[in-house]
Amino acid sequence: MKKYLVALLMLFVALGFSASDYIVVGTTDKIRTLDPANCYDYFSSNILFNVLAGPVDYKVGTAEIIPWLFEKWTVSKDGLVYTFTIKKGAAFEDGTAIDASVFKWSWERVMKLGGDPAFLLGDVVDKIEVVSAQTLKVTLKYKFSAFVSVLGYTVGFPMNPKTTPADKFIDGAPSASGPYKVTEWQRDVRMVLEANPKYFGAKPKTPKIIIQFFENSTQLRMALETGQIDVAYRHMDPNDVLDLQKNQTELGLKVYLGASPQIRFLVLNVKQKPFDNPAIRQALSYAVDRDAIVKTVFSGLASPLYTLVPIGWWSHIDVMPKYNPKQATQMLQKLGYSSSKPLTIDLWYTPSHYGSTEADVAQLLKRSFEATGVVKVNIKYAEWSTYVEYFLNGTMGLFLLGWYPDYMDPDDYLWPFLSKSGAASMGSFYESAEVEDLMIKGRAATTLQERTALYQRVQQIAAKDAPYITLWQGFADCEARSNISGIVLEPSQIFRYYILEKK
Amino acid sequence: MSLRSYILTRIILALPMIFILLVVIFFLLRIIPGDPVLAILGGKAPLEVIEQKRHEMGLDKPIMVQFFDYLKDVFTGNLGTSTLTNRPVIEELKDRFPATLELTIFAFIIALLIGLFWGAESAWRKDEPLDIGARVYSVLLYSVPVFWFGLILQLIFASYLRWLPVGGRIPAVTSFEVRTGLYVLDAIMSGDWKGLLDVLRYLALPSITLGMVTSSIFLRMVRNNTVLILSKDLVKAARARGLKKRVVLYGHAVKNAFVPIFTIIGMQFASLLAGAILTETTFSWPGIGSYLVMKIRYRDFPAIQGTIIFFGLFIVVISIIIDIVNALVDPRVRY
Amino acid sequence: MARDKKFVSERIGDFARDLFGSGTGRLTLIGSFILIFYVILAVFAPYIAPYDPIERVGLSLEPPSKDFWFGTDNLGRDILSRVIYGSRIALSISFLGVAVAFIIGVPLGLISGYVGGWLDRVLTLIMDAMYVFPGLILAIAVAAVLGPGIVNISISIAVVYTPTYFRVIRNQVAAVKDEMYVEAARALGAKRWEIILKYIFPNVLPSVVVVLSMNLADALMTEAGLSFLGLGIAPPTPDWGFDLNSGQRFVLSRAWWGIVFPGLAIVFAALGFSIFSEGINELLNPTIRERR
Repeated sequence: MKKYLVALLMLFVALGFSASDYIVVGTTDKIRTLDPANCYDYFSSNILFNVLAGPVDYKVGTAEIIPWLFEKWTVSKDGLVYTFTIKKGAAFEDGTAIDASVFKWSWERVMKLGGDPAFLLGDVVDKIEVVSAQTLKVTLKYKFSAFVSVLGYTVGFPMNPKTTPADKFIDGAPSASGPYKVTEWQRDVRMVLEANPKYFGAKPKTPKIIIQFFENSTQLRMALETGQIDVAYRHMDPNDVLDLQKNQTELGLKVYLGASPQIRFLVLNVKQKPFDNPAIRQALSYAVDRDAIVKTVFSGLASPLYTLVPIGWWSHIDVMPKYNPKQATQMLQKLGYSSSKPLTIDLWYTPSHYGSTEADVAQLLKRSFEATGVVKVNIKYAEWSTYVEYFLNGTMGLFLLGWYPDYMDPDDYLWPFLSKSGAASMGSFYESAEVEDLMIKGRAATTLQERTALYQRVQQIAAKDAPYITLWQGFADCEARSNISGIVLEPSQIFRYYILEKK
Repeated sequence: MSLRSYILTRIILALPMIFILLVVIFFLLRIIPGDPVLAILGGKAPLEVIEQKRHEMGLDKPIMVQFFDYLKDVFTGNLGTSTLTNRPVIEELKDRFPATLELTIFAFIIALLIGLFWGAESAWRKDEPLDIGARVYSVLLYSVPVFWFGLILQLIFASYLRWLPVGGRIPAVTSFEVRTGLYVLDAIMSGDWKGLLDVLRYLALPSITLGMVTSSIFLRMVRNNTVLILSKDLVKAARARGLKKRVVLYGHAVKNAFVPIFTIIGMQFASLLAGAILTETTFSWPGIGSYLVMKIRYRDFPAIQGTIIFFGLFIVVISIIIDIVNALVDPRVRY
Repeated sequence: MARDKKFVSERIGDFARDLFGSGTGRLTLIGSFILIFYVILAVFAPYIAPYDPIERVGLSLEPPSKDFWFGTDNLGRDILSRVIYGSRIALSISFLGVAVAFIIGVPLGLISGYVGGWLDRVLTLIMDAMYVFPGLILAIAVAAVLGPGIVNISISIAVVYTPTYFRVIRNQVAAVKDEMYVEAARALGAKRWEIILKYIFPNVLPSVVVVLSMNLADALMTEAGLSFLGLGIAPPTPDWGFDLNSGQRFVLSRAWWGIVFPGLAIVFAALGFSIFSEGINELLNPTIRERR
């Protein structure tokens, strides 16, 4: 009986290996919505990038923008009017052609519904006109050099007017126009993507992708090790990544590591005591041991970050002070704090939104601040929605937050942080007329040189005023069985299922 | 009292309980810190959009108006719309309920089987090693947190020995048609035996975890009751006459010992459901338990509220059914 | 429903009695030994623990060794010290939770049982509704409402156990209130509250103490479950459930000690508390025991 069972099991394993027409991807991430008008989180966009075609794409593996649905475009001299030429022959899965009126309808829908990413279009677009079936004219409210970059995000992806309600978000999957279509979706359980025969571009290398959702990193890793999944993407715990990397040959796996534009930082609420005092903010910025966090929590996979603009981007300069607890102690002592009368502060974190490592980060920060001998830290936590409310209404004085870009331009790392409205939505409530002025100049400037100079100046002032202490820049990782090829961790963070292949 | 009027009374008596449950849940969840509107819209929404959403969700009405709207909705089977996914909560619960039901039923069967056979055999061989083993097992298993036990089993059988899958409910590719949502049943109905085996392999670890933790209660009850019956003169005589063990033990003693067990099944089912929350989280089992935990993380108000109401109603219904069955089995209950 | 044994501890106690035999006093002895052991750990943690539980004292994830008997966690902290200090949170939350349940449940039960009438009916209905609801789900809901913190977690646990006290007290009071000595006191002109406090309460006290000791083990397990789900107190305070949850992240990197030791601490404590409560039950209430 036992023998029979074993033989049966082996047969199934053999069957599993011979079929290479599908690839199973595992994740601990969640899909919130598949409506581009409301999609503003990583994994939802990830799916949309694979089931919808967008105006522009990135060349695989680079940050270079290339045509997709838009064949070409021209910009007027004053930088306000964009004229786009739309590719002929593109259609949704039901055959509805994608033309200029579809774009106009989709973008106006985004702005009208006011979903999470709507501001990306709404803040800059003044009017949209259909010139001809293949020509679209967009007028901006002000000069905005990163506009085409914004269209690379899912917010600019057209939806099928025949199947999409104009007045509310869809709660299922959209009508496909990209390489895949969603054929099965059980929320937080599994999703099946199958090749979309109506897609105008190249056929996917693998006709079927099955995505399975897991509760945590441990289960994701076990599933990969046991062959239950072929690819693990997003939120393997850093120590698991490193451990798998060490043993990848014997486990028959391959670990991919890449850069990520995600930055993590501490927000200091400049309207709350004691953080309203710039001297205290300055002193604290000397007391942050980034290396300890990067080494202990992220096994050296992340990179310490000393400014708001990510490493490797134009205008990036290290401006924040290096770790120097003695300096911090002296500065705080000057302000009247001592070991018997320490500066007592609350440090907040949120336990699930940024993954399981967050509590460790908070504990190391506490240790690092307390190493000055004159600071006493109480750690507090709140679940994400409570957290959002707390930082928007200014309840929290010092807390951990993260940022993920909407478009690939340093402007997206400065304006949302340092403009008055941006700072209020980050919970720092920072205000500086000088910085705001420099950033507006930066948006209008046309040469890279000019913009670089302006943005570096902004970063220097931000470091001095210290409404934020940046901590580290994240990393992208993906783990796969060694017979899987086509995994590219791109600077744009697009993960293309349609180039994956199982040998 | 006739059976029909007993059943009627029992159901009428349950109504105020359901009402109180609804009241408690409503007011409890209204005081959660964390604005659900902000949670949906994130930090970047302009003020007028926030206000509009608040209006859409009816959160700008006076609390008593909200309360009556809520009661009306519950009685018409509308548990609200999830703020996270924009889907009706009742639909999401329907998607997930079969998973929890399947897990609970199998855990229950495992618990009963262990309890019945080990309990009976222990009673037959009172104070022998098997019996002492049963007693040690009961004490230990009930002191073990179910999430810890599940984790240990997962490490041994899934990660180390690789006999069973780590988590989830079905393999990536299945061939049977999903009709009832109870995959075991679906696989059988489609005649897909390979699929059935797959489903059972995925079901094994979670249901064994939950089943073993629950089995100690049954084990103890069967054992003690059987010991009691075996010590009766009638049974002693039967044993002395050399009647077969199977007949004496299972045909007579266990059968009688089983009646009191039935009375605790209702309560057992409730605690199984609670245990299912932790078990489901450990095994990525897509049931209502892991759903609740996830929704609490996102402060998805309507979903949390709907899930708890659902749990409450389910338990009330189960206890009514158990009481009615009891009344059928044992007419004295009715008076 | 029949006389259901809802709580874990009641059952473990029963199991333990089966194992050790009843009426021997052995149970009380073993139980109190374990209980005292944990109380000593909690009270004298700073003297017993070899290291500071929240400071880095070794490398990350060191296996058990002469220096670190239980190994270290990912932040290089000594797990033995964390387990020892963890008993503080475990004990204080279970004691506090049970105490709050006691403070609310007992007076309500006394009043409800003695006064009777519509008040009694309404209270009984509410308490029954809470009682049938699975304890953990109730605690999760309340903990999610209140947010983290020792007091808040204790309250969530108290909500689960208040109905138990209420039911026990109410039924006992309803039973004794018409007895001779109460009648006599009433005839002598004693005030209502005097009758409740002086005549009725002392008579129902023993059963309360038994329930109290039983709930401790349950409260402990519920607290572990809550903190495992991330609804417990904030780090770096050592807490078994929290440590278990963060320890599970490193289990596949072969750091088994991160989940084994905090887990055993929970199992052993739950076991000890239940055995103790069963022993107390035998000592205080020899008559209410069901006998075979």
